[in-house]
Parts: sequence; structure tokens; C-alpha cells
Amino acid sequence: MQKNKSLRGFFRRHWMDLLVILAVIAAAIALAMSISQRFKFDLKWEIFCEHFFENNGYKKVLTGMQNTALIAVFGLLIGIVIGTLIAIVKVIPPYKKLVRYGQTVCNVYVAFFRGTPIVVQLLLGYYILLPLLGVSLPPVTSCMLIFGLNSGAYISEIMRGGIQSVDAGQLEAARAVGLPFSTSMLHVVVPQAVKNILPTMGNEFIALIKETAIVGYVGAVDITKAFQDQGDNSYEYMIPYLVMALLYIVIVAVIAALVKLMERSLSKNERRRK
Amino acid sequence: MNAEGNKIPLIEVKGLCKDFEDTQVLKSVDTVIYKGDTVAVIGPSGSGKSTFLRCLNCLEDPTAGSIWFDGEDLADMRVDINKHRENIGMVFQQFNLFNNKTVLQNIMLAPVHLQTKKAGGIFAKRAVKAEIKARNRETALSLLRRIGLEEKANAYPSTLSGGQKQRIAIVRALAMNPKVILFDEPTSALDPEMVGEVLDLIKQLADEGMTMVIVTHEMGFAREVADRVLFMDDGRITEDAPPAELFTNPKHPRTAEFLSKVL
Repeated sequence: MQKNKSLRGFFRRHWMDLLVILAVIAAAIALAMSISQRFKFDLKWEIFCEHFFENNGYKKVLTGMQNTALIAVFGLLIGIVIGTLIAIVKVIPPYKKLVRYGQTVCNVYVAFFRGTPIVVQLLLGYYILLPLLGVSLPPVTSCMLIFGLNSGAYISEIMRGGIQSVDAGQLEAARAVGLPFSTSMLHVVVPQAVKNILPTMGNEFIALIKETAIVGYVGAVDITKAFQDQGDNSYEYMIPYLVMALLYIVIVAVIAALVKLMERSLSKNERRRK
Repeated sequence: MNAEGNKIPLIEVKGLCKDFEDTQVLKSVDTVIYKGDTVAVIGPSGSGKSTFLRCLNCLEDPTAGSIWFDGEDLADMRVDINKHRENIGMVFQQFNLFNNKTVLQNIMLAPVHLQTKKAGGIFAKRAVKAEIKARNRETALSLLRRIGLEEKANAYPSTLSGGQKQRIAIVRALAMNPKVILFDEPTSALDPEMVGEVLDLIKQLADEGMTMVIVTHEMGFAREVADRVLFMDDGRITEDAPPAELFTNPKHPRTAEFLSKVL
């Protein structure tokens, strides 16, 4: 009874809004119908299904997803190692000459990888540097390496911020009991820095996944390349590209949720309400 | 409380100076810390007390002068400072417990790491490593038992009160078996209620003959526990006397002025 009454009240108060919403929905449906007729949506959907399910298009997409994941995950791992090392080198007090040289090298490294587009790095690395070094790696492996080197430069800056956000007393306390700088960093400061930057690191991983869309340039098959190929084969691009965009959104949403979970479990050594 | 004559010098400070940018914080400090002594350092803020203490284990590198400890000059940049810091414990105003480690890990981290390193580092036999860990775990637990915080062994620092944190910080320094412990205003960041428990622990250590240098604002405590009180003003030690003498009959006018304000 009470509920009914309140429902009636709701209608009385909001009938204008509801009317507007209904009108918008009707307009959207009308628009979609006219567009789908104009672009022969049904026909295109049939073509997509034929190529995707019957001509093994889905297998290529699965391979693409696997490669995208491989490149992004290993890129991130290599990036974290390189980024942490660079960040540590950058925060060492520059008493010794060797440290200062190391810092210069790191600065040049970061300037290069942040100053050129990732496509350029990929082309340079795959078509120039690797052949010059006499190494022949499959495209996916090369992409992992190059994406790792690239994200290392970005992660180093994130990590440096994270390290500087840890209270200076933590490092002092570790040094005061006789632990060397490296041990103090690895056991005390860096773990706390990592916790601070985890949300940013999640964003970095998501950015990395989206950046991998260019690996088709060197012949690696990722999600983008797989859908592109299907478009090329069927001469129909609309549905594959829309599905591709949807797939990226879903993947990113899942990873964002995972990052949130990990963040929560990492903050277990903080006092919080249950 | 050693009798005059048979005192063994532990730290000898000669002409210690420290500049920050262009301000001179320490202007030639000379003193000797004897074995078994409890030395309180008092003085107005900005007088260089904390800087003096932090120079003793080279958390601040001295600009000039020398600090003789264990037959080596710590102010010399070529000296392996980590080796000496193992023997010089330090307790901070802000506790500085490692936030990412449990209480037990806080206490065990340094001794386990350094003993493992001496046993060969990553090449040490697994049995040796396990033995070192087990031994230090025992020591850490018995130290925690001593301060009545055994049940907090697996808690993280953020769940503890200030007094508990500071007592654990003291125990962390003790776990290294240091020859001397430096206290940098150990009770200044505590609620008044918790000051007592920390001072009691420091008092116990003094009674056991631990050598300590304590920068403090607790005049009553300095008077009760210290064998010697150093009064610092404007980067120098202006007065150095047993507490009974310094508090009742200060020789330097600046000391008298300071004491009249705080007592």
C-alpha cells in the first residue's frame, strides 16, 4: 500500500521527465532503424557471422587476444624491472662519479623513449636495430621487448614519484640499523612505493593494452590486426570494427576491476573498517 | 655509572662541524661518550641537538671534524659506515617502523639480512639460512615478551599505539646488540599518557649498563636517568656536567636562562 502510494507520487512528480526519456528512446530507435536500413545492417551482420564463425575468423581473434595479452603483460613486467632500476638510480644521492654517469644514461634513455612515438620505436627496433645486432626474433617477441623498453621509461617516472612519496624516515631507519642502500630500497622503500603507485600502474597496463593495437606494423597479429584482416577478407569493416571496440572495452573493464581488487588486498597492513 | 678513572671511551667527537647550505648548525663540537654512560642532550630548539646525534651515525655527513668509534673515523667517507651502524642503534622521534613489515619482521629484518650476508649471502646453505632465521625469531620474540607485546608479533605498525611503536623501535635497535643507542627525542611525538612506558624501558636499559645518548625535552627524566647532561646552544656544547650539578647549579648563564624557562 505504502509502496503503491509512493509510486503514484513518483509518477506525479516526474511525469514530465518520464515523457522526455520516452521521447528520447523513441527517437533513438527510429534513428537506429533508419541507419540500419541505410547501411543494410542485417546483411552486414550475416557477412560478419559467416567470416567470423565459419571461416575461422574467431580463431584469428583468439590468437590476437593471446598476443595482445602476451605483449602487454611481458611489456609491463620488463617495464617494471627497467623502470624500478632507473628510478632507484635516479634517487641515489650523487656522491660518486659512477652514479652521476648512470643518472645521465637514464635521463637520455627516458628522454628517447618518451620523446618518440611508440610506432617509430617499433619500426626502428624491428627493422633496423634487431637486424643490425644480427638477432632475428619473431614479431611478437620483438614487440614484447620494445614495449617493455618503452613502458620502462614511463614506469621509471611513476616509480620515482612513488619512491619520493615514501616517508624519508623509512629509509633512514633502515640505514641506521646497518642495511646497505640497495637492501633498504628493495625491502623497505620500494614495496611501499609500489603500493602507492598501484592504481597508476593499473592505468599504465590498460594504456599498454591499447597501445599494442599498432603491432600490426611489424606483422604481429593482435586483436586489431585480427579484425582488420577479417574486414579485408569480407570487404565489410563496420561490424568487425564495432565488435573490436566492444572487445577492448570489455577487456579494459575487467582489468580495471582486477586492479581494484589487488589494491584492496595490498592495503591489508593499513588500519581500516571491516 | 662508572667510577672516575676506569672509563673507556666509546665515541670520541673532535671538532665536529655541520653546515646545511649556508647555515652553520654545528660549530666545532668536542665530547667523549664513555662506555656504559647515559648521556642526555638538552637545549633550545635549533641548537643542533638532533643534528649532533644524527652525525654520530652519519645519517648526516659531518662537514668537518672526526668521530672516532671502534678505532675508525666515521667522518671519513672511505669508512664502511654500514659496518659501524650495526653497532650504533638509533631510535627516532617518529618511530619509523617499517610500515610494510609486521612487528616481528621489523625486528628480524636487519639481523637476519646481515647475518645471512656474512654466511655467504644468496650462496649460503639453506640450512644455515633457516638456522639464522630461527635464532633471530627467538631473540625477537623474547625481546617482545620483555616489553609485553608478544601478541602483537604479527600485527602491522599502523595498528599500534604510539607508545607501542616506540617500544618496538627500541627493541628493533636492541636486536642488533649495539654498543650504543642514540635516541632522537624518543617521547616528543607521544601522547602524554604513553610517555611513561617508553621512558621506563629506557630507564631499564640504563640500569643494565647500555650506553645511550638521548636528545630529550624531558628534563625530569634527564635528571633522573642521565649520568651526564650536555647543554647545547647555537651549535656548541656550552655545558657538560652531571645532572645534579647542571640542574641545580648551572655555570653558564645561557644554561641558567634555559632551565629557568623549562623547569
